[in-house]
Amino acid sequence: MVTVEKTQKVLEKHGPSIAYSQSNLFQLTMSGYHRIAFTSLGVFDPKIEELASRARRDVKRGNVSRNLHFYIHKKNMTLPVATSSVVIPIKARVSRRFAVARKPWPVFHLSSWIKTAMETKPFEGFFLLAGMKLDKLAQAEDALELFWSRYKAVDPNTPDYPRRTLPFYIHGDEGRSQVKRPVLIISFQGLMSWAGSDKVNSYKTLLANNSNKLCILFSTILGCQLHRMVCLG
Amino acid sequence: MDLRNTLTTRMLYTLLPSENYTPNGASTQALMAELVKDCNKLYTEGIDVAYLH
Repeated sequence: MVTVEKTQKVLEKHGPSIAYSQSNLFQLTMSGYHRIAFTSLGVFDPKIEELASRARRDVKRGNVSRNLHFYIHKKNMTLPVATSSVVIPIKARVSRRFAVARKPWPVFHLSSWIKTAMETKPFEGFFLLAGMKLDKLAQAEDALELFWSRYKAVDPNTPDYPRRTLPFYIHGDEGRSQVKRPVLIISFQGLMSWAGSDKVNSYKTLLANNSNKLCILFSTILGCQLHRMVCLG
Repeated sequence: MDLRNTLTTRMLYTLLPSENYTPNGASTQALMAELVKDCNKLYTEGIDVAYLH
């Protein structure tokens, strides 16, 4: 049973973006917030909610791609990340039958992400350096050093240059598409949250029967060195 | 300008539909091998970033 008081405490602690509840589709309207929906043990994100509402309005599913692209480009908050390709064995259709062939497959390398996220205005490292841009590199280095000093308590294998090594998660998961076909998704996530060093990007409650536990177990921390900075101008 | 207007901080590496999987996970192993190669290069050699100010 979830009460409004409990919900308010969660909101005060974590803000409107992250709230948890064990009730199903419990909805609440509060002054200053838009509609807040709580789903069973999930992270609530207002952007996801808006995305879902756009999909719901498109009943015939004829404009899903157009709506998604419109939403993504609505506020011009996109990054021009370079697409690379790697040659891998895949099963592809060859004249009415499936056969294994080595073909180029599109990927976004982590190096491409870092280079673009660091060099593109107005972001300039904002998403990877704990909410600081490259003009506050010294403060970002302090945050990185603090992170690796704390991480040492968990794993003594820390990098040689902790002030210039960015920590990342790598995460692989198999989801299901709209037509129930599984899709493997591999992605990276910076550990240094853009919200600041004292906040985490996302977290979920790990319970005994919660499948999220698997996601955490499959996540691995890796380090990436940003060991030379070229300042021009 | 509020830079925090973002859907997620996840950075996609790739998507692979199940109909393109090869037997014994050869596709995912090849993808992960390329990922590890890039990450090892980042860890050992680092990356140069140009900062214009």
